[in-house]
Amino acid sequence: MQKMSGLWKILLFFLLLSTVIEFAVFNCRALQSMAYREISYPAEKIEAENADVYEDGYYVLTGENGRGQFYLTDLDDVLQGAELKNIRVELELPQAFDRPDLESGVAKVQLYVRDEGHDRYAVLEEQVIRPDVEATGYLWLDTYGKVKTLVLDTALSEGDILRIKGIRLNSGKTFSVSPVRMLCVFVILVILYGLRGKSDLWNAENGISGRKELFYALLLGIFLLLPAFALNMTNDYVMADMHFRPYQQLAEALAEGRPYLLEEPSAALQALRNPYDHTAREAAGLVADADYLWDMAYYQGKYYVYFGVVPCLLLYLPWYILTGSHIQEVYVLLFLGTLLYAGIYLLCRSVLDQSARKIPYAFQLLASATVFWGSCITGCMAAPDAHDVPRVCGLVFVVWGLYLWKRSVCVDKGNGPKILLLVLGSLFMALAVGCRPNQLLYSFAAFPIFLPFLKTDGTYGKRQRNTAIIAYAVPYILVAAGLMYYNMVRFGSVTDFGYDYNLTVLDYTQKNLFLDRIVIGIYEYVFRIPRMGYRFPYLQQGSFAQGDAFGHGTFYYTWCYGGLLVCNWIVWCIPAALQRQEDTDGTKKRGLLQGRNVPALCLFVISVAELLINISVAGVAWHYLTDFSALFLLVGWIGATVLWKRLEGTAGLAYFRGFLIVAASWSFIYHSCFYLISNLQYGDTGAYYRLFHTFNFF
Amino acid sequence: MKISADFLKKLILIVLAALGLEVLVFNFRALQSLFYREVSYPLEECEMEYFDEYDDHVFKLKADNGVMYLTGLEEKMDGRTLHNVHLDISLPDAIDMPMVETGILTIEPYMRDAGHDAYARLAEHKVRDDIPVSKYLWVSGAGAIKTLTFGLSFTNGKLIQIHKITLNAHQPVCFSVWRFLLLIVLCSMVYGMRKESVLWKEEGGATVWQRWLPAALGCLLILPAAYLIFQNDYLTSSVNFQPYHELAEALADGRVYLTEEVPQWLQEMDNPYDDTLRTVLAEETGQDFKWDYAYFNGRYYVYFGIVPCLLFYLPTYLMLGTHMPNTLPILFAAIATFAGIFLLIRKIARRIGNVPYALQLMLTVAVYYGCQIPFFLNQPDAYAVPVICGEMFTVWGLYLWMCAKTRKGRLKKVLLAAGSLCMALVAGCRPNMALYSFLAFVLFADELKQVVQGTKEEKKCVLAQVFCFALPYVLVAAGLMYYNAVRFGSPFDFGFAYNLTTQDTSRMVWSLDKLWAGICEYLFRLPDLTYTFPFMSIAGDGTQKNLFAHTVFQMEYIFGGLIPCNLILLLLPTVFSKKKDADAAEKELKRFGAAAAVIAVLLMLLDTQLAGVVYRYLADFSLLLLVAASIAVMLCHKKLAGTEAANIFRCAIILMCIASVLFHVNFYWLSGLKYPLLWGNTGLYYRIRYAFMFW
Repeated sequence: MQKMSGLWKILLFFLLLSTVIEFAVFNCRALQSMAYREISYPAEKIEAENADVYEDGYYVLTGENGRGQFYLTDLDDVLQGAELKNIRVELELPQAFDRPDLESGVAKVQLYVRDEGHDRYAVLEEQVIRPDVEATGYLWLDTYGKVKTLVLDTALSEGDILRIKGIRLNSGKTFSVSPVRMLCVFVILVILYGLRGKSDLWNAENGISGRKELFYALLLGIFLLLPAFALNMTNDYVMADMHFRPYQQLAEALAEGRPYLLEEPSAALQALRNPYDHTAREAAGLVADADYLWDMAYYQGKYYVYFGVVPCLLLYLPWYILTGSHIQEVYVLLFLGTLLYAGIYLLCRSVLDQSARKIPYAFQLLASATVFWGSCITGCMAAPDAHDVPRVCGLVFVVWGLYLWKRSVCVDKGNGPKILLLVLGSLFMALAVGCRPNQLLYSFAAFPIFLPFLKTDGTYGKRQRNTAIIAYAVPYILVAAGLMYYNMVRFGSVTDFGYDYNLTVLDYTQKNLFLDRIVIGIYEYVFRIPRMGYRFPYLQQGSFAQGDAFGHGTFYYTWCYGGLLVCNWIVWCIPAALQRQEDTDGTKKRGLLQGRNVPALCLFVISVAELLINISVAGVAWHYLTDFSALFLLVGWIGATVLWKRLEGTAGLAYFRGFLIVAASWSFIYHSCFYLISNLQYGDTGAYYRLFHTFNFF
Repeated sequence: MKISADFLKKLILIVLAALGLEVLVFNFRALQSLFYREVSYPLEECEMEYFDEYDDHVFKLKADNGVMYLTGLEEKMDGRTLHNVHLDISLPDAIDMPMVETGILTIEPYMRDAGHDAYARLAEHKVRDDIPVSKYLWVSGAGAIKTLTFGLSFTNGKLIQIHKITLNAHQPVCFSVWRFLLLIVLCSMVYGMRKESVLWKEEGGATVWQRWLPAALGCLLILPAAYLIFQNDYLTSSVNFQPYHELAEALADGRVYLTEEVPQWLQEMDNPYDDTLRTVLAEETGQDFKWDYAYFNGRYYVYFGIVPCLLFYLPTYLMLGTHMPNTLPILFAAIATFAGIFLLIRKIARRIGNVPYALQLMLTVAVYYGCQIPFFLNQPDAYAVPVICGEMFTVWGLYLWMCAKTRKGRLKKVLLAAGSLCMALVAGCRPNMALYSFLAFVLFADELKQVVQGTKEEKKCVLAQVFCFALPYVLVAAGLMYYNAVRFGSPFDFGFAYNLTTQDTSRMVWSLDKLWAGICEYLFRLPDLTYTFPFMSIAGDGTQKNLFAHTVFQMEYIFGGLIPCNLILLLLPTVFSKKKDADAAEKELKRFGAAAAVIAVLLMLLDTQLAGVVYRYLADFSLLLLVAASIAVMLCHKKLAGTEAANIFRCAIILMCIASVLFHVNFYWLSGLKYPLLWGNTGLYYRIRYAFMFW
């Protein structure tokens, strides 16, 4: 009880602290401006250029590119000797309307300043004013001495009419309390407190009760998923039906009993000798999405969807049949993201528990969070896209499949695996192939998991063994039969998933594997340093991976953000997971696999193979990381548990704990930025700029 | 000297490993092409567009760009895959010119293959006559290649002579002696850094070769830079901004201001420090002004610290009548700083005790690389001189101060005075770095206590030490104050505010933007490394100087913040931790490290507010941050010694130092800044390029 009351006191303290930070730090401009003497700039003194003046402060911008300039002159006189610190511009944009696909309802203002240090105008960066976001109306200035003249070079996102309701100099900024920001600060304080060295979460001996664990797991889930739900709910961009919609089209086709799409390929496309050659399509004047369907498989006069069919069968088709309408990718990915979190949490618990008994619960929390972030799901949920659906869905099945397999072998010695869990695990692993065929590789993880049951040393009976083999194989056979039939009716081959017939930037019917793409791929996926800035949204899209950087050939590439080793430091622990462990007597075992963590080794080898296959077959794109990154991180955490056990009782443990916290924090910072670089700026411009000023508070 | 059989065996192994890498890895294209069947491409079928043809297959470009077509490749290869094309060409009139990329034929390859009916464009390829390997173009088509089209352009000259074109040519083995030597060094380092190495077991200095290791390391780090500097024509012949030369001339004439007359229009300006108006007036009058000099009361001054001038430039000018190139003081300071860093690290290591020699050497390299010296050696101009000299004096001052302390609690007066002199001279190079002098209060805290608590005799002794400590400061300060007073009428005015530069430095703008940008850029900016030579580019856009739209300030490119590029800084917070059972030396070093870090951070904040965000300013505070981090590393190592964590820690430190080296080594060949090697010595630049880009 005392402990609980202590906890409440701490929470109360953090609440107070976050309130103080909210007022003292995030509202520093409001505090600063309290000392200012506000002066209204006379409307009649505003000199407009490239703008027609009407009554009541209305202007029509007439300049080039719809720009108009507003001169605020004689500021020295108006300010009566005071220094100019800010101007408050109150605008009305009568023609503004919210569009789902563009930044809208804003005036873009570029400031030109003449002060004592700049007689010929200093140019400042363009700023955005959105009338319904009060913070955008304050333009702060740190000038070189007294300001003589200000020019507001203005352009509007829609129309050409604006009304200047008023301009105030040295305006007192109102305090703006952001509950979201306060909550963020509060949560961060609580997390930091929870992860301090003396916290119970780091005490392996204490253990944790089931109810408490459920509570923590739910809290973590909310922490990880809430931003994605919150950002997408008002984002019209992701809700609008204007994107690439292969699954919706496939659902319609399947509902009509056809594996090919309803849309007929144009005669021009059919007339091409090699329709898969992008340069030939361009040379023939064919325009993507107008003359042919971009990124669809085209085969013998029909369009097909080359994405895995399983997400369609499980989500899109039932929804279409039941409701007659289509489900949006945003809902699918949020749903899959939730399942992924649950799967990762359970898998981490299962794997880490087995890897090292009695590890601190903080490990479980940090591992779940970093593996979740590392799977690139934040980017997928922040900017939902059909391309991500099969990858994420496949990963969900892999994660759950591995978890169920692990659970199925948690039995007393002599007993066979739990058949139901084994069947379900195999089914999920097989369904993963129906999402992303390359994820078949993860099925090989079965060998180290079930190896003990295959031994013929008498521990397990023949019947147990055969039952396990059948339980393992049947789901695979059933799913494979379905997929093979689907492939057969589409492309005449049971093993052809149609990937080669894709109408995209490169001709995949021509194989072109060369050293450059391996070098570039490994660099981009593993070593690329992200481009981060100090202004919202902090993460910048990296330059396009230079697919032809060495001038030897071309392959598919698109932008990458950051490599695994750079953005997920826990991956540095992988060598510890792969090392041969010493026996209890201090001797190292002999043999290639003896003394090694075989499941970790197997997962690592599979992940590396996935990485190389992706580079060789598909190319280099940030989203492909989903295929292998989460499993790399899982192996990293297995390595971390090994290190933790080795360091227990030594002075190095505190350093290692520090490393884990720093690694997880960096992972959090990097991956959280994906929420900020979403298309919210287009889908809900107002929300975007509210968020912008929540972070860019000064 | 007797060489043991074991040593010889190891040496042979290292050489063989390097040889294996040189032949099997760096020449793998030669090995790969061994199995090809060469096909000669008939020269009469080679179509040249926008060229006039002469005898012996000599072609003269008659437009800006020409085109070469190699057609019918599918038939010529007869079903085999085309892997490379050898263009045996020469560029008869591509003479080497200084200060421009020269002698280069740029090829823009376009490829028609089974997957690209209308040409796929590949990245451009550079060919130089004197680099044979550059004449091999490796291609990888999507299916059979039908046509190759090469867009051709020359940096200078217009002639090209085609001797032969070979498809699937055998590329000869190109054995690079320099690369081979580098590989031997790298293999030796790998060998030396292994867990069982004697370098990890001893504190060092026991054997002759160990004593020579730092010198060898210094040569390895500085000689390549010196070679590249002296090979760079741009640096040796065309650096315009020479404030120290002008100052030396003025001082030799007994003046503190420059001889050059200030234009009348500048003298008549209300605010001559306003660049926007100054630029307009200079254009209107046609009379230029001296950029980046201090202007005060109708005269030009040099606002850079005077000490480098007094030490290097003025004596040279007086004795020889000629000017010392900036590169020499910079190289001297680089060598002296390296030596100073090694000695300081070694001194600290000895006080801590049981610090392996390998760790001392690694930290020396990490600190040397981390304090911007590679950048100064890439940009060895007048801007670098005061900063690197400031670093040199700081590191030697601190080392001498540490040497002055004896175990008996007395201070060696000569060393103390020498240390103080160095620290005082810092103020004459970079006045802001004089803040490090306050470290004396931490270093000599025990001695200062004696002033209050000691006996009469002790107090007397301490007063003598205080005198030795203070005298150099008084003398140097008197000189600097006099110099300031005769220039700007105030002994404390170093003239920074009168600088004719991009911003009006006479008006100080305190801005949150600057502070935030400075902290982010100086400490956290992630470097932009890539996989194509020169492997590093300027991170971010140096022109974004008013990102928050509140103010404008001086902001240049930042290649990488201190923390991402010097990961040992991650251990810096441990110097602030308190340990109850720490011995006196450990406590003192922690205090010293913490104070150095605090002063360095303070300096960083001052720099951002007073000067802006510029890469070279990092040197003002990086050195001391890294020295403090080194203390943290050595203390951590001592703490973990003998535990399971020691090996992990060793690996982590090695990785951190490798990351630091991988980042900073790129400054040797980095282009895109002033005085690029690419322009100063194109041939050398491309030889280095092809040595690394071997595939």
